[in-house]
Amino acid sequence: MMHKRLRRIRLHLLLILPMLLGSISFGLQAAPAPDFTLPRLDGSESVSLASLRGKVVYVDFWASWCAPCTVALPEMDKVRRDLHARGFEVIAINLDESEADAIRFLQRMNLSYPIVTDPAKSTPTAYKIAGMPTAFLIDRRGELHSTHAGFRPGDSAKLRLTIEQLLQETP
Amino acid sequence: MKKLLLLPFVLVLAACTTTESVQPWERGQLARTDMAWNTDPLHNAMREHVYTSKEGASGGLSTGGGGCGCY
Amino acid sequence: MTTTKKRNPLAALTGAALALPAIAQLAHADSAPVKTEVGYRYSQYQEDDLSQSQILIGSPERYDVDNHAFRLVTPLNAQLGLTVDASYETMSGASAYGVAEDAQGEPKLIMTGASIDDRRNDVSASLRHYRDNGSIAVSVGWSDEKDYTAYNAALEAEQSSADRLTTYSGGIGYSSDTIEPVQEAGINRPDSEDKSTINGFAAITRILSASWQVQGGLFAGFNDGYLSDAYKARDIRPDERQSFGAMARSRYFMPDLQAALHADYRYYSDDWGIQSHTLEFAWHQSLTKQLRLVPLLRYYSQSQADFYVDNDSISHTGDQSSDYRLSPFGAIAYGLGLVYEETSWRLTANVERYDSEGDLALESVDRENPMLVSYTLLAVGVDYRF
Repeated sequence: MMHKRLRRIRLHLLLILPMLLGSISFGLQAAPAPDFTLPRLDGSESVSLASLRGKVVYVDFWASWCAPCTVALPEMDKVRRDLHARGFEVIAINLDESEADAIRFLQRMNLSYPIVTDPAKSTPTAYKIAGMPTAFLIDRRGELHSTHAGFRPGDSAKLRLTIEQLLQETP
Repeated sequence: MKKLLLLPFVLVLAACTTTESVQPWERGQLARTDMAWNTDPLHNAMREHVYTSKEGASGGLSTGGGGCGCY
Repeated sequence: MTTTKKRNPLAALTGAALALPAIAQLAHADSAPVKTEVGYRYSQYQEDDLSQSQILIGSPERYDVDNHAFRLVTPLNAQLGLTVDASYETMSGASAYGVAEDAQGEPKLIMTGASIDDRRNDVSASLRHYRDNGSIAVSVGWSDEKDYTAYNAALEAEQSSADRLTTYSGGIGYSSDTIEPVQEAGINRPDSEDKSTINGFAAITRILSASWQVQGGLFAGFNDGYLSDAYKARDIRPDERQSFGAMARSRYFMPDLQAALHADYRYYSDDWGIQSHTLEFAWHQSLTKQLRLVPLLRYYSQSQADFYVDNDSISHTGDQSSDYRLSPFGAIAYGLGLVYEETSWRLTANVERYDSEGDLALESVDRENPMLVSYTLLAVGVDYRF
């Protein structure tokens, strides 16, 4: 009986959480971003979040079938090319069921940042993503700064301002 | 025979009561263009227009929901 | 395409069909469009000629339609999407003036002598506002023919649960139609008549697994005004009609076969006494990443309207119509579609064959209406995204 009620409460929390995450860009309580080490989609060496400590990192969860994701990838590549020298990096975590779909899709893009794959889907679970695309901005201290759910053409302009602010902080 | 035609409706109702959780990143198949409620709106509008003008019945549902689930 | 369903120029406003104003034509996506898409379809609709044995007087030549349909879907800003549909069609053919019994007591057609030409223009636009897990759309439409004008408007909303597995949607539409029959010397036709239509629906869409989604819902309609056929010799119908229906749909993907099975069922009932069942299956078979083959099968059956008469004898009193759309019949349609799809463009080709007969009805039919239609629909199209 009690167990059932607990389960129901947990269910309610699960329903509310994505609702909160679903609102576009809001501040998070300073919390360390869950670490991960994932293989690159092209088979070269793995990338770990911890190795990028000291940089501002944009972690982007995407799939080839998600239309707004495909808007985000090239837009964020421009920002990355401009701000990489100042300490900005993007990691795009691909969540396609079939890696071949992702690779075929990327052939049409020329992206400068690492694209990694997570076949076990442990990172989207750890980051509790509620929809596609969802991206997280991580500051130089390795803490979650904000969530960006969804992506509309032109959104990178707003993100660029936030990223430039974060770049001015010292670790 | 007539009762048989109600079967799909009953099946769907039954199906609605059981569900497994589908994560946001597991919607690649649902996002396919061949899984849309209306795969070809222009052509289907023409078809519906013809059916409605040759048959006694008309009406239906709009087609929201399902699919990609993208923001 | 619009809402306003018109049968054919000579049999406008038969009232047997009522369209779902604009609602059904909205562009649909769960999030605002990110790209602009334009589409074009050319369709050729051709009815089989009648056999001479079915005709008492007149031409056996039935209806042909050439239709050009255009669509534009575009984002206006981050939350707003616009869809514009426009179509232009030309029709020609003869239509039935009435049904009379021949010497053996069999129902035979009296057809209009000459082939009639008409054209139809049709424009509709809808604006959809997306926010959080839902959207609201308003749409307006206009349709115009020589003898027929219709205006319609609709409002629709949908809201998904936080996990986006369940979506609730509903809509309401209104249409105002005017018919001004083409006059012919010696025949007494009304100058101008009106009808209005209100309809609505409520539906639930549910994702059951990563490869299966279903939808169920109810719809209703109410017609008020002139619902008879101004071109028939004797066609007297009630000036109101209430209809109600239920629909269930399923989309199921089979990764091993690279195929999607679509199944739709509709039940319809109205206070004119017509009940109908519609069942449709489509199999979307991917042959390569780009190429898809789509066979489809549709079955339809309806019972007759209470006031349906199988001939226009002057002995009938009160409401009466010999319109085949109010007669008992069944129909089978089968078709094949071909889709070639690249990232930014798509080519389509479709062929469909439709046959209706008394013997195809679920319930046995004693006397089949001689006007029941058989047709072929051919279409080619292109879509482009940028």
